[in-house]
Amino acid sequence: MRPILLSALLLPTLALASPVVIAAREGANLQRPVWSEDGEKISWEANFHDKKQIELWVGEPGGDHATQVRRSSQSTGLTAGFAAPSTGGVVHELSWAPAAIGHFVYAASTDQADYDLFIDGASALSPAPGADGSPAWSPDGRYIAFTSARTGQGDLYLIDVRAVEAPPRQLTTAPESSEIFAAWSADSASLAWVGHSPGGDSLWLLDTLNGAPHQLSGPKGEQTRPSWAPTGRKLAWYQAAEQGFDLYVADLGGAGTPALVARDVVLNATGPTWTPDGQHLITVLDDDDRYDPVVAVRAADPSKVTTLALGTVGHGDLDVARRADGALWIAYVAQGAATGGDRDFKRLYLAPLPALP
Amino acid sequence: MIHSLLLPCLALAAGEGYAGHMDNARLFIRKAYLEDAELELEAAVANPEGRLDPEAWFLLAKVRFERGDLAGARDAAGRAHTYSRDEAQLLEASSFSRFLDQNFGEVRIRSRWEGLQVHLDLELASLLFDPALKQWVESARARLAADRVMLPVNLPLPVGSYRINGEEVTVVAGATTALELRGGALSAKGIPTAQLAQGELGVGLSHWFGHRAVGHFIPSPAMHAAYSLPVSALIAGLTLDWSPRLYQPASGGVSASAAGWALGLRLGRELEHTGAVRLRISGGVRGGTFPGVEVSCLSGDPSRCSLDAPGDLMIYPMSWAWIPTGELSIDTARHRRTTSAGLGVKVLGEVAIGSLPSEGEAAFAREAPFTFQVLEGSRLWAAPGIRFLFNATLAF
Repeated sequence: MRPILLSALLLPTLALASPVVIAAREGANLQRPVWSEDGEKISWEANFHDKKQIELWVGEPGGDHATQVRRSSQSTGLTAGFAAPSTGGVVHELSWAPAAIGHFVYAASTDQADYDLFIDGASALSPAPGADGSPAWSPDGRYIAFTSARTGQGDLYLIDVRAVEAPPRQLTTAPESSEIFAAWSADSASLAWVGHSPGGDSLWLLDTLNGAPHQLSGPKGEQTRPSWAPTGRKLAWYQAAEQGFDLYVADLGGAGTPALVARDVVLNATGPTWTPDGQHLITVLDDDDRYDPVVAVRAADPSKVTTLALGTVGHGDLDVARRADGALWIAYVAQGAATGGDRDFKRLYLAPLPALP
Repeated sequence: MIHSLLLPCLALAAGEGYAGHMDNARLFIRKAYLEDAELELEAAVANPEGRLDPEAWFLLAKVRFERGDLAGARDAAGRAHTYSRDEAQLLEASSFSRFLDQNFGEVRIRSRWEGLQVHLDLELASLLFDPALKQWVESARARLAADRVMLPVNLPLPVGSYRINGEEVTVVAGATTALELRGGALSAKGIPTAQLAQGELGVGLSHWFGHRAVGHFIPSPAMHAAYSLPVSALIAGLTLDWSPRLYQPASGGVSASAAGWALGLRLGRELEHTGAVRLRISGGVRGGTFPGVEVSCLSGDPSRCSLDAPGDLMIYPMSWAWIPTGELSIDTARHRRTTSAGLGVKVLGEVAIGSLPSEGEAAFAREAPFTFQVLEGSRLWAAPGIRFLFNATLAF
C-alpha cells in the first residue's frame, strides 16, 4: 500500500445516526444500490456467486416490502406454447428513469442464453442476437443508452423511449473495442463511456449525440466508470494506479484538466458517487487497516476529506440521494457492524448524512 | 401468394384429428397466418382429445390476443389456467391473464345515434414503453382504419392516453371508459349524415276546436310523412301532411274535403339515456290548405261573408293556414347492420292560423256557382288542434 497522505491521518470524522439494515439475502452478497431520482425508491442486487445468479430488487426505504424484479416472460410474443420455466438467471444493471416517468430499465438473461434489456413490466427492448447490457436512462427521460454485442465487440446504442418499437440507433462503431459504462451528463446532451480495447481502457466522450466521439485526455493508464456530477459538467472516474485505483475529476465545462481527488479507492459499481449538489464525492477507501472506510471528499478541494463514521465495516457499493424530507441519505453495502455481529455476506444499509463540510 | 395457398393444403394433408389441428396451428403461427391458426386451434379444443389440453388453450389465448380479440384471449387463458397440469403451466397461464388484466382496459365508444357506422382513427397520446404493446396498438389502428365499425362498440386498448377521432380518452387497467363521439368526431372522413337519415310515416286522427269557424269539425283522419337529418345535436326535418276534413255543414249530414295538404319544417332533439325507447321533442311549422272553415254570408251578388256577423247562408271555403306545432314522439327501434326500424306514437299540439280568401266562388249542389266576398277584417282566424298518430320510422 502506498504511503497515506499525512493529512489523511487527521481526517475529521462525522458521526452518523446508526445505520439500519434494510436488506439481506442468505447466501448472497448485496451490491449496486441505486436510488431513484426522487429518493423514494431504491434498487439493489443480490449476487449468488456460487449459483451464478443475480437477483434484482426494488423497494421503498422504510417500507416493509421489497419486490423482486423478474424478467417479463410472457409475454405478448407467440411461442410454441408454454415456455420452459426459467431457473435463476441474471437480472441486474438497473437504471432509473426520471421520477416523472416512474419506470426503470434493466438487463436480464433470457431463455436463449442471451441478455436483453427490459423496462419494468414490459417485453424486451429491441431484442437481437448478442448480449445487451449497461443501460443508462438519460436524465431528461428521452433516451436509453446501452451496450450491445449485436455488432462489433460491443457498441453503444440509443433507444428513443418515444419509439421503443423502432430499431435502436447505433452511436459507436469501433470494431476493435467494446464501449461500456455509458454515463449521461446532467443536461442529457453528452455521453461518456469506457472504450475497452486490447490497448487498454480509456474514456471517450460524445459532446452531443450527433457529434463525433473523442477520447478524453488524461493521465496515462486505465480509466473506468465515468460519472457525471448532477450539476454542471464535471466528470469523475477511476484511474488505475500502481496498486488499485485513484479517483479523478475533470471540469469539462472549464479547462478540463484532470485533478486527483482521492487515492486508493474501491470501485463503485455505478461509478464515483456525487452528492446531489455536485460538491462532494462519496467513496470507499481501499484501506484494510481501517476496514475500507467511507469518506466524503470535496471535489473542488480534495484536501477536505471527511470520514463518515457509519459504524460498519467492509464497505462496498454505495449511492446517495436527497429524499423528500430534504435530508441526504446514503445507501451502501457493508460486511457488518464494526462491533460484533455477523460479517458473512454484504448487507444493505441505510443512514442519513449530515451536512458535509 | 402461391405458398400461402399451398400451405393450407399441406396442412390439411397432415390429418384433421386433434394432433393434426395442433400441428397445423403451429405451422400457421410460424408463418404468421393467425386467422388460420385460430381456426385450427378452435378445432383442436373442440376435439375431445384437445378439450382439456392447456397447451392448446394457451396457444389459442395468445393467437386471439395477437388478433385483437381480448375477450376471447381472456376466456382461453382462463381455460388454460383451469386445465394446467403442473405448476409451471399454471404460473404461465395466470401470468398471461394477469398481463391482460394489468395492461388493458376498454373504451366504450358510442354516439347519440345507435347503429351508426363510422371509421375510427386511433392515435396513441402517451408513452408506451412496451414494444410489444406498441405493435399491438399499431395493429389495432390498422384494423380500425380498414373498415367501419358500428356504434356502440367496446374497444380494448393498452393502458394509456389516446385520441379517437380527435377526442381524448384515457384507458385505465381493468376498467371501461365511456367516449361519446359528437359532430365532426363521428368520422375522420366526414360526418356520415346520410347514414342518419330517418323517414317517418304516421296515420291517426286530428281535431280542431276553440273557434266558431271550426266548431262543426269532426275528428278526421290524418296522415303524416317526414324526412329527418341530424344537425349537430338537433334533428331537422321536412314534413308533409294530408288531413282530409270531415265536418257537419249547416244543412246537415257529414261532408268531407280531401284537400288538406301542408308542407312544413321541424326541429327536434332526441332525449338521452332513455334506453330502448326513443323520446323526441320537436317544434315546427307547416303551411298549406285548410278546408271546411264555416263562414256565414248574406246572400246577394256577390254574397257578403264574415266570420263574425250573422248570415242567411253558410259557405265552407278553402283557407290558407300556418300551423305552428309542438310534438312529442315515442318509439322503439330495432337496429340491423345498416338500418334501424321503429314503431311508436306521436302526439302533436298545434294552432292553425288561417286566412280566408277575399273572394271566390261557391256553389250549392247541382246549382250554378255564385261569387262571395269576405269582408275586410274578418278573414283571419285561429284555432287550436290536436293530433294523435301511430308512427313508423326507418333510419338508414
